[in-house]
Amino acid sequence: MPYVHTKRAKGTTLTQAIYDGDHENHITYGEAQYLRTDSTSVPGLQATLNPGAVGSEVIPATATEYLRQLRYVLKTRQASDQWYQKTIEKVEPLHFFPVVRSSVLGSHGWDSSGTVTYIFNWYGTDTYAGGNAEIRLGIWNSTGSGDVFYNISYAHLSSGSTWVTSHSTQLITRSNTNITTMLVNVSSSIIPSPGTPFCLLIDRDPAHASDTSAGDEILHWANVTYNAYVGR
Amino acid sequence: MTTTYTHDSQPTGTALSDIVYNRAHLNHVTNFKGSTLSSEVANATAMQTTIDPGESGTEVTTASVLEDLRQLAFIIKEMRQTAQWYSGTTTLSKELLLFVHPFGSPSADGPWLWESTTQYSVVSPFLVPSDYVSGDFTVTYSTLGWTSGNLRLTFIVRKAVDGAVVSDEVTTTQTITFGNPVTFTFSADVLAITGTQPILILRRDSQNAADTSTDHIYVQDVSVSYTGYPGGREVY
Repeated sequence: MPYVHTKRAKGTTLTQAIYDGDHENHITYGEAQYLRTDSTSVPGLQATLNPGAVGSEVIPATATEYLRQLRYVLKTRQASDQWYQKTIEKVEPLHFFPVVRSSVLGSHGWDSSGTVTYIFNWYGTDTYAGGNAEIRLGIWNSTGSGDVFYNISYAHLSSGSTWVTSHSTQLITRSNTNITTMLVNVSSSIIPSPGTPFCLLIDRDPAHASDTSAGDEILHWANVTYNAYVGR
Repeated sequence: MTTTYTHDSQPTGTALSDIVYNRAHLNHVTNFKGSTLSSEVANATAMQTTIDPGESGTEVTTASVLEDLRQLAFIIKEMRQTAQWYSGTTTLSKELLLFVHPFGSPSADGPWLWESTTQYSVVSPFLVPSDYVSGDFTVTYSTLGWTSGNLRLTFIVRKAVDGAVVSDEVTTTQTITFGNPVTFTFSADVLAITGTQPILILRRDSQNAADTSTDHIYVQDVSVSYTGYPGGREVY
């Protein structure tokens, strides 16, 4: 029942019941559940107000301003477009381990004759909120040129402690530059449940015909982009 | 709550007409909304007041909407671990990943990151932290094995997108007198190209005459500091 005032017509005798009833009406509807909001539209729901900083506070004059200041802090804390946003696109670097599989340590770690597997571990799957992910592998070398061919595998432990793997190959084409990145799409079907270690294994395949890079210093890094729950 | 709207006071002897009576009551109905009712926050001290809602099983129930709001403010303050629930920016620092390569002579001492006679580099992928607000970034490297002499170091911010190079970059070369840590500063402006993947490169140019140290140097860790938004905000 909406909060309204019963208009009294001209000539109405102001009885005790009418007088008291009209005032009781305000008390009855003076509860928060009847307090009208400024969030009846989407823009109103999204509205925030910067509370300022310590020493330069913006004092809220109304309950709405106070509420909007709380929203502002929530929104900025989670770096989201809206204060109520559940997920956000997150980019984070992958932890990295080189695994030297031959006796090449001493020449170059990963050159045209050596074999080194790089393992990138994604520990952040506890914030993973579903959907496909993208991994960008970056390479940099100070002097060399030529294309580099990679074998790419993913692995994680299933619930039965069995390693689940998938495999693909990809070519990083370099011009005469010394830095580039490669995009690797990761299907949601191979992303494990939260908390399960997820590994990206990269082998350079120097014997492949497409691998034309001569031995030179190559450094690698990788970032993963995925849909993540905010605030975790 | 007190209100920010007023009652139209009537002087003694005023005839209580239907107009006066209805207008006085409608005034309450019209102004009973969040944008009109006072926050009861009159100053910074009142703004800083929060109420602990307790924990499950020991809840502190509220008696007013103001207390509800102050309980929310308490939780926000607790989540952010800040002095006030609305505390602004501060200097933040975070560790960066350090990508190295198993270079070096297979000596008993193991592979060197920076030998005293050759030129090697270390790389850190850099993503603008989601709690970054404004200003420059200061990158700090700590090293091991440095006992004397000067280092000739080049710090590079370089960016790339998939399959192509972005030419914008900054390069700073310094001769560092013995000591730790080693710091470099760069502007966020150089990162302002959407979709780029910046990396930070630190290179020792051992063959430069200014590099007088004969030590093999290990890079122990690297961190970046910046002006950011404190308190548990989602960070990469």
